[in-house]
Amino acid sequence: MAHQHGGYFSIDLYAFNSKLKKINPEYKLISALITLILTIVFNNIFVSAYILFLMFFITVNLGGMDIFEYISMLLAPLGFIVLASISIAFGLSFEQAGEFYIKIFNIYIHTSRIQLIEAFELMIKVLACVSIMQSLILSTMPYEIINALRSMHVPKLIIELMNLIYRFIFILIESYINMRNSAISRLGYHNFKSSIFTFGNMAGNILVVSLKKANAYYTAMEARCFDGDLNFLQEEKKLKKKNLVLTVLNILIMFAIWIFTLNYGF
Amino acid sequence: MKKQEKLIIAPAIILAFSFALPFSANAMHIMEGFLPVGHVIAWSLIALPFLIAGYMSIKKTIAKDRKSITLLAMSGAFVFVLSSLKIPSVSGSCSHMTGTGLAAILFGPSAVSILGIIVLIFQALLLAHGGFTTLGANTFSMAIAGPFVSFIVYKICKKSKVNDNVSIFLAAFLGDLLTYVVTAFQLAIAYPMKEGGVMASAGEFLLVFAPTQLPLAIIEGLLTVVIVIGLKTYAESELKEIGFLAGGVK
Repeated sequence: MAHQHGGYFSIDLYAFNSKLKKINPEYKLISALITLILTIVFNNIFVSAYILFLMFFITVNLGGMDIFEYISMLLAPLGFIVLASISIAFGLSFEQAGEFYIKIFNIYIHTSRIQLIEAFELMIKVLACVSIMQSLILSTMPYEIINALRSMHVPKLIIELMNLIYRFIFILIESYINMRNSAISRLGYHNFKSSIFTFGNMAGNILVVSLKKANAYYTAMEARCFDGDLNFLQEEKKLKKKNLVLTVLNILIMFAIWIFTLNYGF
Repeated sequence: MKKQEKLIIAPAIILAFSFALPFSANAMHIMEGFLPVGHVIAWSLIALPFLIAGYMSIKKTIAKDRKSITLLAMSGAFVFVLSSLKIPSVSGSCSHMTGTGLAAILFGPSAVSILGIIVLIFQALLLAHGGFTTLGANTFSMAIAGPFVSFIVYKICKKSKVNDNVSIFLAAFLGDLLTYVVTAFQLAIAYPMKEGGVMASAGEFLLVFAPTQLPLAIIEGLLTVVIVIGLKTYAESELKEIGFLAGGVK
């Protein structure tokens, strides 16, 4: 998918091509959530590092994803991580403080060993958590996750809305791409001011298109006997015992790492 | 370095920093795994009553008119698409709107809370912005606090007969700004400074994120105005359908 033509949703494609897509989606969602919660509860750099490697192994080796694509995907939230870590690692004050500091005018930018380590540990933990999410997303189609949420007793109305929104997103993206291409070919983005106007008009236009399509959709649904219930069919994927064992094993390993490294630290 | 040199260099560094950010400046989604467990639970509980209220309101709307389900779903998809589009930016970095201010003005804040959480889930699933554990905190800042302020500002401006475009700009701008401030405080409460506590930490988060978030809020305001002007020109009947020209949905 060429990037400039709206490669926004290639993530969907990865899930479709993943070798792990045959695994039961409920199982994938629940084990990802358990791993995620445990990683945050333990808040231990060794556990986080283990998870980071494990998820790398799962997505790249088992899922068959390209290693460079995986890394660029993992670093997508880098901006937030860097900025937030900076604010945790460094402090500002008018008086001399911390172990190390730089003085600019009358303001001290200071930091200490503990702060730097805290920020580093946090960075690893966030990357580990992001990689857990990625391993779920890159192997499971979103509609499967939505269905898995239904079995977790999320209200039916929300599930219906999610299913519809998921489908509508692609329709709107398609009309956006067409509009954008035709705007570009008419120099709609040649400077900042015209970019703002083009973008604004396009966004307004997308809303109009979407409202019209919403009407058409309702008519189509009604013509197919829609009486207030939307049912989506889905391929059945059986839960395998091997997977359950692996999840339990993973949880045990996490506990073990946590217990063994309780007394270690920087 | 002489004092004068410092005076020149410091703003230059700040400028360079804000212009050369290599990564995308998204609305501040708190990343997966960033908040400690207690905060995850607390923010989810805080967001819950708003979500229940939103759910009730949506349920009532749909019970009254079945047709509104596709309309609501399209609005949700619209907010998602709007927030995933690259917007024109001065710095050349790639940034996105939140779209929630516009949605609050168009659809009303209670519907936006539910649409917002769904959009946030999809952003986590499709774009890797935000995450499941930080869903509560992100929902509160982006789908509840921001839209409510946008809506209230818009109503107040309308009551006091401020120019329509100005009031839309203010609503979107202040809504975006509040999202940014709330997020900074959420981060600060989770990671207070040793000296100075939560307030010092909040100040710092605000400062660090300011170069990306302040221009973004202004651009969001401008874009929202342009979008609404465009809508009023070409789509009056559709706007009436969602209740905007009649004064917003409930």
